[in-house]
Amino acid sequence: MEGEPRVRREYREPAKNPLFWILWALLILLSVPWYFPPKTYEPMVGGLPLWVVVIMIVSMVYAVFVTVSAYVFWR
Amino acid sequence: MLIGYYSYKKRVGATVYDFFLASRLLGYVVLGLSLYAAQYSGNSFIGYAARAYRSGFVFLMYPTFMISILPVTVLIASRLIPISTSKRLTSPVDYIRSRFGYESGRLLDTVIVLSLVFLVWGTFVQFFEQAIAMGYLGEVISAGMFPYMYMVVVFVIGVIVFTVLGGFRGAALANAIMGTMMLIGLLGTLAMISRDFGSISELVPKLAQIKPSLISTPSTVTTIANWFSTIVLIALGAPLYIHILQHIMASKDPSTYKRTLLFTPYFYILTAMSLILIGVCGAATIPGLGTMESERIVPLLVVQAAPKDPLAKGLGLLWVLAVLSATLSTAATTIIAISVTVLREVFRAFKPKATEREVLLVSRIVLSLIALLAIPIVIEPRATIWRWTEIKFEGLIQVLPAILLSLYVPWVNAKGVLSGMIIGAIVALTLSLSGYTTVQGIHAGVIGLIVNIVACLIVSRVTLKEHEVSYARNLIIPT
Repeated sequence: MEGEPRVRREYREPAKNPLFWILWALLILLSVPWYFPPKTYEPMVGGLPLWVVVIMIVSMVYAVFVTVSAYVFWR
Repeated sequence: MLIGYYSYKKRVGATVYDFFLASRLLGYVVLGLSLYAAQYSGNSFIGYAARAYRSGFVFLMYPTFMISILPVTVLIASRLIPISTSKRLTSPVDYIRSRFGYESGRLLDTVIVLSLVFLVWGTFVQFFEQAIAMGYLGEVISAGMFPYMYMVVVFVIGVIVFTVLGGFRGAALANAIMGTMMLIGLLGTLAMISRDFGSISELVPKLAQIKPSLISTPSTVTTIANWFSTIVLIALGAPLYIHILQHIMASKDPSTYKRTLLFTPYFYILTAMSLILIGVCGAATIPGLGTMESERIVPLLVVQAAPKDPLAKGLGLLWVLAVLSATLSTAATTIIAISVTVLREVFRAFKPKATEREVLLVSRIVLSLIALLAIPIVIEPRATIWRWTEIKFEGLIQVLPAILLSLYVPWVNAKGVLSGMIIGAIVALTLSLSGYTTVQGIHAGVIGLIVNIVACLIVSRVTLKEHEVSYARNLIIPT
């Protein structure tokens, strides 16, 4: 905790933490498949196009980010 | 409905404040499930899966924009909950009045009325989207015996009866149970589809032959831009529904809402991905449906799979019941939120001493009128549910500066917010009406919002008054 000691814990909010914004922006950026060549569905992995699998994994990481950030950046 | 009846008997939530106080006493599991059920119901189960049927995996923007709603909600909640708890605020309008409390008279009234217009617009479209979805569901499930038009009218009247008879009470708990049922029913449907029509890994390669564009990466920069624009549109719009803001404001303290994030992101993602897979599998099994015809894809799949065996029949029935009740409760929640919020303002202006009982009585009448107002729109929907979703949020997000921006920037003032909303709405409307619903993939409403924010900041800066800034700072900065 910063500053002088207080009886109540300092209210920490996500908006004040640059790391929250950086990770958030990065996840949104990665969740859109601009980094794959256009109009392609190959290679396929387990019956699904690779790009679909990658976007799904990014979304899952994003979900974990939401849970973790609520606890880390908001106290 | 049983829960509604029980709460009615037990007189839970007999007043407006009581109702939201009741949710204040509910734990994080109920709050989380209830928020989940409010964001996912008939419109997404029917309409969004249909969008996946038409555009394929390009609709993978869906899980992203649904999860993106949560961090934006966190940004709002982390500031709004402490304020609402200390000032006993229950609605977004309460907050706006409190935030710009240094203003009085016509300027504040105009800000409130205009904010209400956007808030009500978004919530009202969310209401009638449910009716459209139920029209399609009913028509297909009844094998055309009850046509779409008939089902829509029955649904709207059903909502009125449900809410007037006491659906008001215990809505949060009912929503929570529907949410759970929906998720189970949905996963069951997906399992049923893969058993009867082939697994996903068999169906997707089939699409490579029929229509490869459905499984390919986006073909143009415009599609990519539209993907980003949709995330922005929905992430910023969905937390602004009146009933969602009321739910957040009703949390006991930030930690109740925070705990909901232990599981809601995974529910959101699981639901969105399942709906995409259902839509895409639909494109492989029942190809060739036209745009409006494809809106019926999910019930069509359920109906085709259901007759195969009793288990499938049971699952199909469970799914239909779950979607129906979830849709009913979302429709009821939205319509109640609209009528209560609007009426409180009307009473405040014209009959400030009205009792809560009077407010409730009049709200039932107004509620019925608002619900009936939806009938002419939904009888001939003119657009897909997805298109209505875009239009809904393009209007709703114009209220963002009044709520989100004003929570973080103390020097944002009423004049700025008002100018922003007016200019933003004019830009969005002009673009849309002149045929530019998107510009290079970016939604007219998102362009409107950018102009809105810029105008809000400039006007606020120019008309800045020191005492207003310190007033706002005292309110919004948490201690």
